[in-house]
Amino acid sequence: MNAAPFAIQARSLRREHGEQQTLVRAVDEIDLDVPTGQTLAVTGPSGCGKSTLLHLLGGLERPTGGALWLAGRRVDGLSERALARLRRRTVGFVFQAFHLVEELSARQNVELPALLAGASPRAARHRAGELLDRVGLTHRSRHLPAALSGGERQRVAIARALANAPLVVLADEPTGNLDSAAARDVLRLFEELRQDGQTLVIVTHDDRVAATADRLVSMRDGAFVDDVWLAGAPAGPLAALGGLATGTPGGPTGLDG
Amino acid sequence: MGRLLLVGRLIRTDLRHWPLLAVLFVVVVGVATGTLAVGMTLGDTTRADYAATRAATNGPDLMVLTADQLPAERTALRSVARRPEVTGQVGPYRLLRGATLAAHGHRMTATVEGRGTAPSAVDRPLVTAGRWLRPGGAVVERGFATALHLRVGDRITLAGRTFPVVGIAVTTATGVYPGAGLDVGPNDYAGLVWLTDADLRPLSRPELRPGYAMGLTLADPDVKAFQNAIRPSLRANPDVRINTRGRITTEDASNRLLADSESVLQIGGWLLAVAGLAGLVGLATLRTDQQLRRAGRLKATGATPGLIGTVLLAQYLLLALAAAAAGLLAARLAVSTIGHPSESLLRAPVPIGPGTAVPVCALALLVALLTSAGPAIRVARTPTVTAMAGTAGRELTHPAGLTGVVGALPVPLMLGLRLAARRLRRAVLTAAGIAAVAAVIAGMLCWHAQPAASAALTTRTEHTYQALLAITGALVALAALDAVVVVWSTALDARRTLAVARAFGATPGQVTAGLVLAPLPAAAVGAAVGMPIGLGLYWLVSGARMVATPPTWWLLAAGAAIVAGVAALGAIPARLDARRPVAPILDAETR
Repeated sequence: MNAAPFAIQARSLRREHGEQQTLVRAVDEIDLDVPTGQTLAVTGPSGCGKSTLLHLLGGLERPTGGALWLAGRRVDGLSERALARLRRRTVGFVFQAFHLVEELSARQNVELPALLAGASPRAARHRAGELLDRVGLTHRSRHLPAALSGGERQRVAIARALANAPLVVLADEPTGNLDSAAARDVLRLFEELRQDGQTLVIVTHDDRVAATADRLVSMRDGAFVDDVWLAGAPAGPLAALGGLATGTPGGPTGLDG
Repeated sequence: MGRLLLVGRLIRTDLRHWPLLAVLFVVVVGVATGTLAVGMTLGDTTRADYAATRAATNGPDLMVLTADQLPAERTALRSVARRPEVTGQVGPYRLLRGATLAAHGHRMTATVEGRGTAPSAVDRPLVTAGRWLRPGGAVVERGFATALHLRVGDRITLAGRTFPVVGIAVTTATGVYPGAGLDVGPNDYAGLVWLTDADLRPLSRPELRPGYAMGLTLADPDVKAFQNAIRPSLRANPDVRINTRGRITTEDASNRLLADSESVLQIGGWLLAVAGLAGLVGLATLRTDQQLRRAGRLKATGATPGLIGTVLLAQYLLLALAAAAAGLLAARLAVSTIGHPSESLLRAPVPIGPGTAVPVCALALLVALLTSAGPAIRVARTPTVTAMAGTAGRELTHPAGLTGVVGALPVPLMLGLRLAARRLRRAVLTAAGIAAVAAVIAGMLCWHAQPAASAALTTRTEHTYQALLAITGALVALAALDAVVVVWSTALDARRTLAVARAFGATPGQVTAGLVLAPLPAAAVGAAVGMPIGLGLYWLVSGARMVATPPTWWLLAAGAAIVAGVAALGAIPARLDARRPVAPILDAETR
């Protein structure tokens, strides 16, 4: 959906909580470039700032400092309303706790982003049908989330995240609440997405999930401590950037900001 | 289109998820708006009834009455009838005032008119049962006949002579019964009986104050101008003592029957809305966590704060319109039952017009806005990540020093005062709701403190008392609901705080007592403010008829009873909540 070489770029990204003595830096001066089509896994101990980073990248939280670009557009200063509009088409979320709207059926949950983005009810319904078929839940489309198993709920959440064919899917511990069989189904879906060239950022404790990634970043105390390219090492213009990001997005790299 | 569908879908699922809240909202706001609508429509019903009866009987524009039956007075009446402004007349005919009528063991005062057996052109009483006059028979005005349970064929004794009732009829030549009779002045509440002139003449005695009456229709609807024009010539002759009564005066006498009820119901409608608000806001608070979670999930998928707020506001506005429609429908039914206070007039249908519907809808929308605006804005503005957790509390009010001061108090009192101080808005709404109840109870006490109402006011006061009683009943029921809901919402709102208190040793009894005590300061303030407001409203409605205020101890006792009632009702949800196990609540906090 976007020809920009980087889906996500961050410079000195910072998120702080509290003040003075109680100040906590959940995300501490992070630089990051995620090329379009890459699957990035972020790992680290609990409380290291993984989820906060994911929320910052998806515009669910606003950074205290630094700069953030999504598809080449600078987003760290956008209003809540503008961020919501951006999320509709650019970002899809998958949460550990699924966060499906409890009162809506599986199909209605998947339709939700498309309807919010202004799609016609017919188009939204058609797209939801396609995605539920893709995640193997056509037969459960009329059920409310409460009637679905954990694995089914997460597959519905993945279908919802894909509703508007977003630039990037951000997943926060997507297998954290699932048993082994359900986790395997979800992993298979993520592998399919990776092969389709979908940009993925996955926060996880799960080695199996991390193993599906092209690149693995480790975090501690809000900062990256390791960045390993497992597959698809940068070539051409990306090679210059190496692992951790350098330079200024929107400037020398020629992204339209 | 898609977004519209989504908003509709979210509203529908929300209402299905919280049907009790939706139903309660419609009932509470429906009762308030219905009461207001009845109050605003009653005046129209008596006016419509009067107009219908006047049209059916060709009612006179002006009644002219003499004090005696002197020839000069009869001559004066005829000269008035010959004036060019006069387009029609009935009479002059004889009448007797203050005659005693006995029937079915009752003795009542009656005015007796001597009329012809043929229907007259002006003031042609409409016979609703039996037939018009025949020699030896009496026709009784319908309001009077109803009060005496008279039917055609019954016998009445009038000034010592017995007549069969041959007909029952209505007229607009006099005001409604009680209040009929042709004497000018506020003290004549006699009924009206028609006899033939031949039957009336033998009954005539000086103590029955014989006189003449004449009804006129005028070319110019300005009756006042005609009255002023004829006055000088009538006063020129000292033997002529004549009074006149225009149709406006007669109509006004009819309308006065429900005048107090109108005021009571209109004020009652607003008081009900105020009292309902505390409970409705409390109920809305119960949904906050669910709304927050849903708002977070919607925002994460791209919903703007505006859309979130729209969904929440729109569902309350829809409920408000449903409640207003229900209130207007109920009002229409109620008005057809209670809006025709006297059988003296024909019943005319009264449509509820925009003059009533607009303020009624405005009241419903105001309640909806006050109920939902706060939560809608709060939910829409809560950061997405916080909202998804569903645990974002509202800003707590922490009056300076309170925590330290109450720390030395017994545990229930400490918990109660801290809970009371958490939500200033809830305390204000609780106080306002209790003030509304206290006001109407003070009005009721004021009613009973007045000296026994004179018979003259019986019908008017009876209607007013029934209206007051209905409002009091509805407000007390609403206050009871408020008391339960406010404690329930306090318990849910503070469940984590209370769970921690229990984890550190507070007993369920202490927590229950704390929850019961929490709304009492606001209730006491509400009662203290509401009582004087009630006395003031009573004075406004009754005017000069308020001759006594209730003893202070009545008011104090009522205030204490209100506060005790709040405590007793609040104990129910408090007790239930304090029995819940602590662990799942604390566990939920960490999830």
